[in-house]
Amino acid sequence: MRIKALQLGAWILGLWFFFAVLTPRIEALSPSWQAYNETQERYGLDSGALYYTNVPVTQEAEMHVREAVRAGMKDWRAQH
Amino acid sequence: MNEDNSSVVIDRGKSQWSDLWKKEDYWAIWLGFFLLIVAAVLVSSGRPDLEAKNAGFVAAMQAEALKPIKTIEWYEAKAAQGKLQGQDVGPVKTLINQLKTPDKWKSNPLDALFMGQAKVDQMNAPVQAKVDKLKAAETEALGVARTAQDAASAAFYKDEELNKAATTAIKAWQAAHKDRSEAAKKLKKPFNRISSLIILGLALGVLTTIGATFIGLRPGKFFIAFVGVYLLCVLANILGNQIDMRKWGLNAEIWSIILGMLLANTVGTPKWLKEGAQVEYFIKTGLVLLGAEVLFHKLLAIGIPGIFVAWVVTPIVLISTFIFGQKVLKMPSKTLNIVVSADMSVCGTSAAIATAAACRAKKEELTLSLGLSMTFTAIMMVALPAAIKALGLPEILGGAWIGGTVDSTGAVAAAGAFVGPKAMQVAATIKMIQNVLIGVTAFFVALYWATKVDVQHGERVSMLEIWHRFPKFVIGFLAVSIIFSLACGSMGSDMAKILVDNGTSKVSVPLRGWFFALAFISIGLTTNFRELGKYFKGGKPIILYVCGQSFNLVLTLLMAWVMFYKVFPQITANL
Repeated sequence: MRIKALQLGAWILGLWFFFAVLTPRIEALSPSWQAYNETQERYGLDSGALYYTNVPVTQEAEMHVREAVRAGMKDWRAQH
Repeated sequence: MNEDNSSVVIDRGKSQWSDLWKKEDYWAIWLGFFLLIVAAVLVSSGRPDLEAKNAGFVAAMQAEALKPIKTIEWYEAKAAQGKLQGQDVGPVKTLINQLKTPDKWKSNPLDALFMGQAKVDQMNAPVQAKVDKLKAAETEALGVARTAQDAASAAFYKDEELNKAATTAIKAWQAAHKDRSEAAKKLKKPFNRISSLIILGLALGVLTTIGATFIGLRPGKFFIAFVGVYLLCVLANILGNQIDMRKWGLNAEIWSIILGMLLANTVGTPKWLKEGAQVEYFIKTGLVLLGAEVLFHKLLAIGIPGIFVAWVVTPIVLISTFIFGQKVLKMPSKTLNIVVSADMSVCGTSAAIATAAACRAKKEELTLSLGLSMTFTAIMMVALPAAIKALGLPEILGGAWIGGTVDSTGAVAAAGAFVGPKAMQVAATIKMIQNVLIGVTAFFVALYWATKVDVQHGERVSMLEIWHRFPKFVIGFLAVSIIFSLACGSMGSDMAKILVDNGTSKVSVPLRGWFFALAFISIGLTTNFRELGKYFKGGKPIILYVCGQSFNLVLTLLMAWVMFYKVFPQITANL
């Protein structure tokens, strides 16, 4: 049981080291990754969101796109 | 290679009326229905008032729309209409507050559970200063817009120059308003999640225990075990809401699996806790709740180009990848094959969950599929925007490409935003349409499995036998989807947005999240690392994913180019 508890402790330490120490350092070396994170902050986005209802910006996007499609189809019908 | 069918359970039992209160599938439906009915009733209590206010704002906008320019009054009526939300109805607001997950935090995990006024004031100070500055700018811009509009109005809107000046000033005011609103969203309010999390845990515990009792579990033991699973779920939510974790895509569901597996594969899952690790019960309930978000009227959001990119390409990629997996790679597990194929071609985690439940895949197969999806999403969400920029692809095309290929909806929006605002809008909308495909995918996978896979060679399956084998929760899932879609259709787009998108969804979405997280903790608690390793044998799942995704990338780009630039360039011009 002690060995298993030590295994759990080692995993927790390993995960902490990977996410709290290593990953931020890797991120600091990657301009793309930093720019990507800044984009998420600017738009209030969240990469882990599962479904469109978890992404608030989808509502506004849908509204703008629907208006554009309406106008576009009007032009398309006029041309055809 | 012959498939080992020894672990496949072919249900030859007859359906009975008692299944309605004894089977887990049906309890997932009853529980899901109950929660959605509560949400719908509470939101509907505010409907008359919301309808009356909406009618007023619509009338105001129609009156203003008669003028040759979009006036300040038109925008004010539009903004007021936007503030009408079903979630603001008193009882609904109270319920939503009880469903909230731990909050976002940076360095102190306790900030996820509690934040007092003093700390809030300290955090808000720099933000408030910015908001105040932007508010002043907005007020000034409104003054300028009002003056310009009054000048245009004095000329009865017949002077083109004055109309143009008024339009420019009003657009500048709207831009200032948007900046102020975006900044104000970052202001925090004090909160205490501890009491609401306790109440929620007890409420969900009681509700699920009722079903568990009828299913045949021991109510006392189940309730206690549920509390244990729920507490692990809360911890997973705390980890998943750390700000950097959210940016990296490591959400509560992923942490749920990690925590569960850590416990199970080190100290071992205690026997008393296993009673509450009811994977299928929680996943099926979550899927029935997800049905309320699968709204078919969303299909037309981006018109025919979007339908072709999301609903024509996706089934082609799904079926082709599955056939490739069976005939070429000779995947040992059909269920793993279809779950990976659906995960990659449809929309990531949510599609994997629905497909796995529909074909009764093993939980290790679902875990493996999610791991693959998460890994490749992390790569694609950075690599694809970089490729789009390097290739010099237009923003709309880039957005459509991202929307049709990157798995996770959140990563799609973020990757699209990285390319540009129009790309984000197109990407998010296309992914939303793909999300709606989940219901259809689950139904046809379940049907295919009941009629073709779970049969002995040469056996002919009757309609009744298909009914016996068909996973009933899929019917509940689709029924909810159809009911909500019809309801949205009948009430019109304005009221659908107010009552469903900003009403019942604000209840069903967090509930769905909790049930999925409970399911993932349960998966983790009952998963053996060594068992998981077996499914990686030969690297076939990875090869399947890579080949399928490569085909998806090529076909989506081609279809997006044809539809957006050759067939309907007028839509693209207006985006």
